[in-house]
Amino acid sequence: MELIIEKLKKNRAFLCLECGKCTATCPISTYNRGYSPRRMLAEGLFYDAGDLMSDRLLWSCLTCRLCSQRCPVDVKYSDYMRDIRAEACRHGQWGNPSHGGTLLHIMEMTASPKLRQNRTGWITEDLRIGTKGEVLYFVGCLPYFQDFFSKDFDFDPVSIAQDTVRILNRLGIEPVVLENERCCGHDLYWLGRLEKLDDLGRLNIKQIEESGAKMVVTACPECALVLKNIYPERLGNIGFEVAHISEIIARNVDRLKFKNLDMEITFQDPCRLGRYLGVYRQPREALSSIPGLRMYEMRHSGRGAICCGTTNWMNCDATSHQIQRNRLNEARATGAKTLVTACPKCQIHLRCTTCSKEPEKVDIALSDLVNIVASALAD
Amino acid sequence: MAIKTSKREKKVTWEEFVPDIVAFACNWCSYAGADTAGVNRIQHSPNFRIIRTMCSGRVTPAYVLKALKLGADGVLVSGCHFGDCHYIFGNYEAVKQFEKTKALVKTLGLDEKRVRLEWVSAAEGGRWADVINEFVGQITALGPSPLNHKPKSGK
Amino acid sequence: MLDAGRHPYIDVLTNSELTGLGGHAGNFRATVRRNPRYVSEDLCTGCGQCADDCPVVVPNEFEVGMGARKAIYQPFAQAVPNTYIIDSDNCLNDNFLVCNNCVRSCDRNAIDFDDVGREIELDIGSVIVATGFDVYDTSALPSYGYGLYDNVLTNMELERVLNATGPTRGHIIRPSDHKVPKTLAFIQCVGSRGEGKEAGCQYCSRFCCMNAVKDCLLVKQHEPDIEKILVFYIDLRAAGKGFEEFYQRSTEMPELEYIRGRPSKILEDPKTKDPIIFYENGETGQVSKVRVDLAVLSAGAVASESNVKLAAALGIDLDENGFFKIETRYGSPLHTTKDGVYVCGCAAGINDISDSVTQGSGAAAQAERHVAKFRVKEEPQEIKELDISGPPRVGVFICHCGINIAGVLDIESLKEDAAALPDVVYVEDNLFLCSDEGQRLIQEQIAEQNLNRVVGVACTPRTHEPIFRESCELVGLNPYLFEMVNVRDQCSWVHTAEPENAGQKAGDLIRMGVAKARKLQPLYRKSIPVTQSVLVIGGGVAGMCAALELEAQGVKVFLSEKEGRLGGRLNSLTKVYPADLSAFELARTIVKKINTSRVEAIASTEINSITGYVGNFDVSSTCGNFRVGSIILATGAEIYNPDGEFGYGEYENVITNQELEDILHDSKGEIKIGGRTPETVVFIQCIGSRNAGKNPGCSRFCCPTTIKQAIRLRESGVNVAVFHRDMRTVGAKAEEHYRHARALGVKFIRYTPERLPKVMGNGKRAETVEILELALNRTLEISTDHVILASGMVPNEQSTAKLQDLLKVPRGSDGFFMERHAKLGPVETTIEGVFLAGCASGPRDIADSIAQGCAAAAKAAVILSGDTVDLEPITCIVDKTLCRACGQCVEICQYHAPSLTEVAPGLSAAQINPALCKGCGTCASWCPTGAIAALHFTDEQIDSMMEALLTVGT
Repeated sequence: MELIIEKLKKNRAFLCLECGKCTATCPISTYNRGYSPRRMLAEGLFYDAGDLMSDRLLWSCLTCRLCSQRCPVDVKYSDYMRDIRAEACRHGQWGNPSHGGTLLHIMEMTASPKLRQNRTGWITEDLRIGTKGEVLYFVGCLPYFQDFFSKDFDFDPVSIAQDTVRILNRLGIEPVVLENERCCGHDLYWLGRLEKLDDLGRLNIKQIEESGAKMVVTACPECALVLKNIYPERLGNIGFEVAHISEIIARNVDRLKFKNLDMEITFQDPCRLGRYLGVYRQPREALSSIPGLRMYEMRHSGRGAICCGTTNWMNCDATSHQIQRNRLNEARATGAKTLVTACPKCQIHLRCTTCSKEPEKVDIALSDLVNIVASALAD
Repeated sequence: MAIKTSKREKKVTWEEFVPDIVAFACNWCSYAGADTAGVNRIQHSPNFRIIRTMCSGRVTPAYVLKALKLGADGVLVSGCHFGDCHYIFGNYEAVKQFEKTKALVKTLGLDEKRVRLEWVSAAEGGRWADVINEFVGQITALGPSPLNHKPKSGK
Repeated sequence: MLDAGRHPYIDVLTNSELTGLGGHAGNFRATVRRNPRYVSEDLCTGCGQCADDCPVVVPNEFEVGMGARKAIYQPFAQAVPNTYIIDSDNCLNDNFLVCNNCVRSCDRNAIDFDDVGREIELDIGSVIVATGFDVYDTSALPSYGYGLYDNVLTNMELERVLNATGPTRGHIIRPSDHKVPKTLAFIQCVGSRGEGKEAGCQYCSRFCCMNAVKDCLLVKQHEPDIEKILVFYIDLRAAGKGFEEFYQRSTEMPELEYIRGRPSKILEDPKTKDPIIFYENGETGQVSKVRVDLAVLSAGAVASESNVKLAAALGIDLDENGFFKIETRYGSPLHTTKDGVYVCGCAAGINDISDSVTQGSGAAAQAERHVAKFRVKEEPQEIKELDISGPPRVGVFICHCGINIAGVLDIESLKEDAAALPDVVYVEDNLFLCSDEGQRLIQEQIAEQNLNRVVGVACTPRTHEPIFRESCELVGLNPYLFEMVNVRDQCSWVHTAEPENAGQKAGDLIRMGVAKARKLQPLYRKSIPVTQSVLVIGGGVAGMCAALELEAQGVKVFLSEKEGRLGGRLNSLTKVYPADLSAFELARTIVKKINTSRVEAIASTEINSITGYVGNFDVSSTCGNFRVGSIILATGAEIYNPDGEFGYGEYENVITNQELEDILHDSKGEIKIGGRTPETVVFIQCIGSRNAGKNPGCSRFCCPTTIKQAIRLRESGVNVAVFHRDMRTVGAKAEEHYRHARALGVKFIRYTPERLPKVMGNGKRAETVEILELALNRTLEISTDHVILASGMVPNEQSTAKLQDLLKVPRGSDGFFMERHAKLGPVETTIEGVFLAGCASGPRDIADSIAQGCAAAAKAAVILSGDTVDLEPITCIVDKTLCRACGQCVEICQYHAPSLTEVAPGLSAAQINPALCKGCGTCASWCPTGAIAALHFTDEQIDSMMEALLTVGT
């Protein structure tokens, strides 16, 4: 069990003071009394994580990093979870994937070198796409989300990709879009399937470098995190910069002409964009530069924002539902009519909750930052 | 999970491509139809393996994609004819699920023809054989799936 | 058949004849002669090796002589019991030099030529006669050339040809040259409706029209290149639920042509052997001949020859047609002339499948009256359940099935492969795993090897899984820890010529089966207590009969009627044919029976709400609340209101058949309509029926009703004309009555929907009716005193919609309640414990409604036969901690098993009622979080099969 000890050391687990602040912070523990990050850590420290391997709750951690942020000794709980999961994977253990694992299957399938995807069907004629160029737009899972979710929810995931290109076009950028872009591997990384992440990373980096791009833009915080931090961490330095679209918009607000948009909104900070990449200011700047748009902040926002309730298409459950419902209620309580997020997955998860057949419904619209910005672009 | 390759299987070398096909068959119609083919000794291609489910509505995109991920060259989903479903409308749900599956398969860049939805009743032994022969032929013509990582020299 | 063969309380005595019946209802003693089979039922496994070795080849009766069988044979595939039989007339062992091939080939020594049969005596409470019919011998009509010409077949022969399991495997070929026919003709009514004078078929054989329509569609399906199909008919009698719609759909097929006319003769072109049909086209009047490749005679049905012998043995009477005679005095269409002896299906007359099934259940209900008190109470067996904790220990048992499997697959190699699979601790093979010896082997090894999972590698789980499961259960292994691998029906039988590939496939299937077995979990049959009472909704004839049947079996019955009095439509009828019974008398008799019984009749009652499920429905009505175990819907139907059609509502002397019925009901002697004795009355048929737009179905009862009323009017001197599209004489003796009406001088004039009759009048009275008479193609004007519109039946929109809402019983596009299966479940619904009777599911006459009432009673009695009902454990279950209350399952389920309930304040989760769930798993596939597990077919189990199949060698 050398390995576990190494992992615990790397993740600063030995420093744990057993103060329980993490559990008091954790969104899951709020609703699921059986879940305690502190005790999960103790399992690793004192019992070599033996029982943890086969515990379904191992797969529940949202890796939202709210606990790490509050932890007095900076235990990297999310990383600890990832490492234990990697170990569990080796023992043939697996959590309870949402949608039967469909989306995880797709991610793994795109790691196959021979696969030639057919994923650019969303590019409409009005969008200008370059074949070579400085800027590359990394689309992420949106085409698959379109196939899988658009019929169940009143929602076109690919509109996020289309509006992203529209905004870039308006800035005079004709981004490169990879015809055979692979999954970034974010979810597989956090689920401990590190080799798969490496495979995907190599395939993506090679393609991006071949395109000659110096800057990669994403509209998904998860892709941004992986490209910017995780690939270098696992595979060494990369030869390009990475930015989330909100950063690009914020950087260039003066070059974009907006029309009036009469909306009352609030903003959901995606965990990867906020706590992981530190991008809190830019989405707010981008949104508040739109005339007529009134923005209210939720009680938990910025660094203290609460996760959308489920990640990695894993262990979505009644607790996730409660986190989401609470979050939506919090959004509604601000007086906003629309909850804007900058992550397609946040939107899918929260939409699912608004579609619930429960007696009490939360009446709030959902939208993505790029959709809002694109709709405000003056003609 | 390590599963030993048997001696017999090693012996066999395929001159040409023999596809791996998973066929999901509902308990009441299609599985029974495959049995009827047996009772009537209607010979057909052996290059498919049935997984029985109670209803074709049970077959999700996840099952089909998992089979493809693991290297299946084709996946057949077969249920009862409309109006014949043992569970009234389960096969209509199967259609909805299958539409999603097909869209995903297309975006993944796999040939849509690798997945197929069919209706075969308990009495249609001959039709079952025809569907199998036709589908096996189609997949054989398409060649191995890009996700089939098996060595060419054998199974 | 299989279900009956396997039922613990059904002994199937094949190859047997009843030779005598003594005693009385409730206490009969029957003598049964069991003829020798020469093959032991206990030992024979049905492997078929003996038949392979038998040298004698004779025509196969089941294939109507078109196929061959051996002298030792199975009467047909899936025969119950699955035992071979020796045809001693053809067997060579009767010779001086015995052949004995079968004796030598049988590995189980099942052949016994010393079998002489035996006589057995049975103590029984009642008897049901269900001996079916014989097909009319069409060779008795030489003008059609059956038996003389090769290319003239009967409909029964065509049925076998069209059957995928038939002699040509579903391909249609001409017997003379084995070519696929391009043109085909059906000739209807061969041997029916007076054609077969010699054989005495005066009646309509009822099923042949629909059989021909169906065969036309099947022919097209099997041979898409067919160029022409002709159907020669007199009246196209598509009278049954959904039949008319089916017939109308067939008319859209361009190759199909319906020609009204019965051919005079068929001749054969001696060179080509093509049948040439001579006929007059009833619509154009043209006499022509047509050459076809194949002619099919729609042979009618006649009473079974054996009826005479059986009737004598039972001491009951036959009617003039040789069918078992119905004692109509009881109002039941199932009662023979002896109490305690009942009849159903075609033994009492001609019925289609759905009516036969209904009658079968109805007869069962009546028979149960005499035996209900002796009902078997099951003693629960105490078997200690084995401890299955710890890692899986899988035993794999491979069946040779004689040479059926072992002849193709290399068993040794399969064993070797299986032994190498994970968690497999024991592998064994057996000649016949399903034999007692094979099952004993499994039971012994479960104990000896501490097996906690068993894989049976044999034939199909659809037939044999129950046997294996039971064996496991008997030694304490949960039956759901058994998994079956099908290497016979789906492998050795269908890949016979490729043993290598078949072996590879079998190996894969075993690997998948073992993988699933490792993941199997024990499941337990839950039982729920059953409230010993039934609610019958609707106090018409069907409802009352259902109530009485149940009451006779000692069941507490609530009979609710929304009107003030019981009787329903029966109250407004005059006479009920064919028995010539007064409807009033019948109604009074039945109502009296109800009143003197323990049935709790609650008239003027509305049902407000129904909750619960099979075994326990909580009913709230305007007459109080009660709980019942089962519900019968006998809500009847309404007469279609023809407002605005044919002057109805405009002219006072245009009335419906129902209004005429009321008048006839009140008339004694001379008939007066609207105060005067009519001279002429015109009937117009198919009002609100067979109407493509609104009511596409045939209402079935109106033709016989018109005939009945026409006879009554004609007998009192009125001139009667009936304008019809096809006279559909549904029901016993209806064709004879039709003939009688014609004999009395009732005029029957045909019209087509393209040219409807016109009612013309003056002021408030209709005076003449105009019709295009087709024989002479002339417009005929008939002045009439009254026009009677034969109005069809429609569901009562308000009450059916309400009950649909309360009970979730689905309704068809015609608005009537939908039965579970059109043919096999005519009185069941998709909601367990809820049954249909009478016109609730479609238009019906009195006799059929009574039969349905009895049938529904029998079905309800099954539910109440025990104190508890066992629930199938293969259901879906919800893990509430995973459920996010999205509600998709609730929307999808047709059985309303899932529902959202509050689990904590403001927090809902789905729950699935195991009593309603059928285990299809469709909800599980829509569940986004995996909260729903479809037991025995879980994601994990199916995934493991895929992994086992596709990750070999990695």
